[in-house]
Amino acid sequence: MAHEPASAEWQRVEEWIADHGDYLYRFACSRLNGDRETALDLVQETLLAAWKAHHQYQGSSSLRTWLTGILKHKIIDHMRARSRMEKLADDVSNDPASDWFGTDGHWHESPKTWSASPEALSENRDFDNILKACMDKLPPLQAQVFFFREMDGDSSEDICKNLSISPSNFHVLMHRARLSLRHCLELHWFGQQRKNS
Amino acid sequence: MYTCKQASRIASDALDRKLTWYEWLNLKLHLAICAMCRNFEQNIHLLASTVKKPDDTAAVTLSADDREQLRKNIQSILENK
Ligand SMILES: [Zn+2]
Repeated sequence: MAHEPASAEWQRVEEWIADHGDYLYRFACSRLNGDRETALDLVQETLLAAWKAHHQYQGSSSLRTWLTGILKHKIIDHMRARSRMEKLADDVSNDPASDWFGTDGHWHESPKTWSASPEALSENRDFDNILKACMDKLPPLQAQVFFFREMDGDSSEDICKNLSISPSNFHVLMHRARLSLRHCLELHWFGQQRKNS
Repeated sequence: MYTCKQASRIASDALDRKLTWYEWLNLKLHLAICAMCRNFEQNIHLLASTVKKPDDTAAVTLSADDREQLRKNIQSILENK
């Protein structure tokens, strides 16, 4: 393989960019809070890693699935480096619970019933935009943990291992992500719907 | 007896791990008397069922410049390997 003419090697990567470039880029953007510059870097790293390993590709999964798997590892590596740098400072050490609860542990603002079906919400473009905007406001590590868990359905154990965080940190991050998202959606969607009905 | 802060944490944990018997019981006891936390629980369950994988039709695509940059970078790396 190493002696393949450079043009043939190049053509392979060129095809990957054409067929899967947008998909990989979109996937990376959705996991990086829309940080397009980093997304592009990681797509590039993914294509290079895939090219180096292409003789290992068995064809048992689709090419796209295989490339996405490599990209996911690149995203995890990126987040891991970042979480080491931040030492979870923003995400775990501070206790933003005071944003939601008083010192006695009571809600500052009472959660209200959300009357809507998941099916109707999933098909609603406006809701989708609000949800995305709310997710963009999450701190990076919280967003990452939430995406892996809720979008990809990864197990808690896998997420802890891949991001090198403890189970208790994982649960703190999930709790905070849900508190923030719930609040944001109440403010910008469900509260508005109630007013209009 | 759990406070709302504790109950909301356990209700969140319940989506990601199996609760101990003690946690489960205390959560149920709290929810029985607290409509606010019942609403919180309902909200985060609805949240979980509406969050999906990004779909293929989403508007984010590589711009022509991005594509060009990607091509150039990879080509130069492959040529210099
Ligand atoms: Zn409560």
